[in-house]
Amino acid sequence: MLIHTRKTAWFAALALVSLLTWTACGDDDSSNDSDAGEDAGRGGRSGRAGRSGSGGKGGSGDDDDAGTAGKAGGAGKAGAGGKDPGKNCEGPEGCYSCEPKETLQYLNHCTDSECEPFDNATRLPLLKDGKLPALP
Amino acid sequence: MKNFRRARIAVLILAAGASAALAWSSRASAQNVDCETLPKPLVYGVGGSAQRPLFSKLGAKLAASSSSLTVVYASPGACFAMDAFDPAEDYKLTGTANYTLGDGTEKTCQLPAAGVKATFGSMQVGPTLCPNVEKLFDGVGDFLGPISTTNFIVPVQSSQNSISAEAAYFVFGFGDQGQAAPWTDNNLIIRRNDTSAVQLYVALAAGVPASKFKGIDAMTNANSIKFVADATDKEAAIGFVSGENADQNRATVRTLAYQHKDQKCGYWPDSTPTKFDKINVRNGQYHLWGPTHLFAKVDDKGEVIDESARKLLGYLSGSVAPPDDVNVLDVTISNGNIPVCAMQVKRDGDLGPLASFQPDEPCGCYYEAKASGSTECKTCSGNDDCTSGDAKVCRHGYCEVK
Repeated sequence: MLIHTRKTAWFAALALVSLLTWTACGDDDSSNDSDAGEDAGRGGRSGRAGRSGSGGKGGSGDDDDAGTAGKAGGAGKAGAGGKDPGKNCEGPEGCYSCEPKETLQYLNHCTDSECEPFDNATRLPLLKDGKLPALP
Repeated sequence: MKNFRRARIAVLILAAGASAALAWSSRASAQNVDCETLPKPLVYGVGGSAQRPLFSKLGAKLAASSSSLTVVYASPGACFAMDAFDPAEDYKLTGTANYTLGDGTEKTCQLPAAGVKATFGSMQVGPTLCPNVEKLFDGVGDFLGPISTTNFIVPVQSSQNSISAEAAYFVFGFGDQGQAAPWTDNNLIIRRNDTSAVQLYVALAAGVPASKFKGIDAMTNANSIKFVADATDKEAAIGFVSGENADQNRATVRTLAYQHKDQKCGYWPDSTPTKFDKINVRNGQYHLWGPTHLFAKVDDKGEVIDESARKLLGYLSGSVAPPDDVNVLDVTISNGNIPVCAMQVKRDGDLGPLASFQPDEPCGCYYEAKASGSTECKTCSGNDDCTSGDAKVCRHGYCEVK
């Protein structure tokens, strides 16, 4: 009985971990990247880095939408694999390490290029909670 | 709609008037030749100042070649490329335009007093980004040429290295009220106007209407470089220009890394601020890029009607083989543009969604070697030299994947 309970608990934990990891990371299936990257793409950053980015909020075509701004800081739900068992799209410093298929994945994919972060949170006093105020 | 067009026409008239006055004042020293007296065939074009260096370099090669084509280009602003083909307007080029001699010397010529119709137009943005253009006019073709970028620039003495889309929103949307230090002086925020391709790109990326930018209108890419470079307060000055203009003036201005919305870091077009490989454009990491749009009247089959324009646009879009003594690929690369065959991504529309892209005849290795001076690709003289890995085809002296 005790063994059965332990097994049940172990499988429940395994299922929970699998569920969490499934929802946490971007993946190769672009049909679901919009959801998968919603949180994963908002990892924090600090200092100058040679690599950056991660699977982020999927989709594109929001170039004319100035209503929101990227959140600075916060680790995001990174970590474990995507839909493919064992596949992890979280590269060094949160960059997107899988083959990019959507715009934000291209923008944040892992690279050897130098980059220089711009810290919106500390440098833009008028940016409140990531929201851009209306133009004067 | 008409008011915008009239405003643009007024600007053109003023520019033409200023050019005419300048031409008159300098007549004693060097009178401009009449454009119509230049070697035939002539091809007249109009559009953005960003493309002027490209047409100058290509025009020089063509002038010196067996083609004997003379390219005359007026650059009052990108969206004049649309006005030139608007059936509701009888748009003609007046004042002065530029052409280039076979030795590379750029000259100015006097357009006919009655004006002359442009047979091609050129700008970096698609038609619908221009004010009040809902779709490309019937009977006009839109042909895509080499890739160009829009770059935020600061004086080389500035300590700034990057800018975000959100920061650009405050700098160019709020000006001195934006609190986006150090760019808070309206006199040192250098902008263009809503007929400028680079301003239309910044507007689209940052979410600021192109007609509502704060700062000083520099009128041309060249002026933007000068105003930023000559700023009295090097830390407070900022502007934006086309990538080829920025690259050709690295001694005085520096490109900032750009961080788009939801991007985790800012990137330069190149892998480092000092290189020329444009790898971050070619692979989609740098956001502010697009193809050159070339316009001309077309027939029912989509073929350019004017023969000279058909050749010129064909050389740049790849649909017409250039004369044997003109290497368009080298001209494109030397001007700071990226040939489509060197791209690894494509996009749908102005700053639109990205997708993977593999050219039919890739030239990425050759591009890297020519633009940055080095490449890790294997050199070859034929396919037999390309035996290792996936790069099995010898193109332009380097092993490519196809």
